[in-house]
Amino acid sequence: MTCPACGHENLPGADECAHCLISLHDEEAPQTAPARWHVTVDPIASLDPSTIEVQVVASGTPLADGIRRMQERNVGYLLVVDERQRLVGIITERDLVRKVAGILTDASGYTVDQFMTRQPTTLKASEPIKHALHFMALEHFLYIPLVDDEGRPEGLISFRRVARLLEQMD
Amino acid sequence: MRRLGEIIDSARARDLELSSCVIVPEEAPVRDVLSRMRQVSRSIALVTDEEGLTGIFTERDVLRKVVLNPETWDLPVSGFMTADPHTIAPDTSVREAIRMMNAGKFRDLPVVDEGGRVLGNLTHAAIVCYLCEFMQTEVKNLPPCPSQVPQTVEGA
Repeated sequence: MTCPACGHENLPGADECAHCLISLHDEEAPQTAPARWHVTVDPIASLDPSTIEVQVVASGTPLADGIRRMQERNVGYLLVVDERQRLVGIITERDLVRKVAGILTDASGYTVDQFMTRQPTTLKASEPIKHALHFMALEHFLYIPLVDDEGRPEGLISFRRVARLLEQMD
Repeated sequence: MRRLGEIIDSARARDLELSSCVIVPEEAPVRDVLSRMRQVSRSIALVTDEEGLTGIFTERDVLRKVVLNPETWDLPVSGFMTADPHTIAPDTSVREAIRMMNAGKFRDLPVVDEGGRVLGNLTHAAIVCYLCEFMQTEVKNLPPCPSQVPQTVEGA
């Protein structure tokens, strides 16, 4: 049967929706999806991730140039792309603390590629917000790049954006 | 099933898993503070004097002030920290903590008790983790890849 709240097609006779967990019994049938539903199942696109100007640099960019770009734009990450604009890595403030600051006295001769996380976890804007929560909780990610079908960055979901959503939860 | 809004209103900072903190004196050299942050994989260090907490040294401070300036690495961390950091009490609600994080663009909030003692650090991940505990089915049990879908109903 079809869940009245989320539209999931459940097995006949199911007591609760396998997808959003609301009761499917007639007498207590709910009729609007609970707030947790929007947090978890609405697509990331509903958070308007494309309104963020994503910071992208080419593979091979000198490390110091990348860091200055982060400083100028006041962002904690850079997405690194290959010559076909496909995402190949992400470098974050955390990488700078772990591998650069206090260690590398002369950044010249190094590129962002040597310090980035290669083939990072990505999501698509059409995927539910719950996947972003999942990675932020389990992997402690602050930023998750959003890519198109060819793997080109087209947005970013940040903890900052998720936190604004959480603040508004009723 | 509880509403998420109700959960973040009723949960207190002390209910969440607080991270241990790197705590350093104001005169600690930046280089040593960075080294300690790396050793225990922490994204912030708390800076204290005899009176208590005087500053917070974050990944953003590292990016903005020290990473490309090796001459700063032997100077005291107090010159590069963010002074008078916002803190929360153990009974601050999670909703209030999230509100403070949003208003101040913080991702960490030190939890300090009435006596000025640092109890731990409330991180962004702790908040998301806590909420995920209430959404086991929706969030925590997700497959590693969103496109991964079971081919058959579980238990068949």
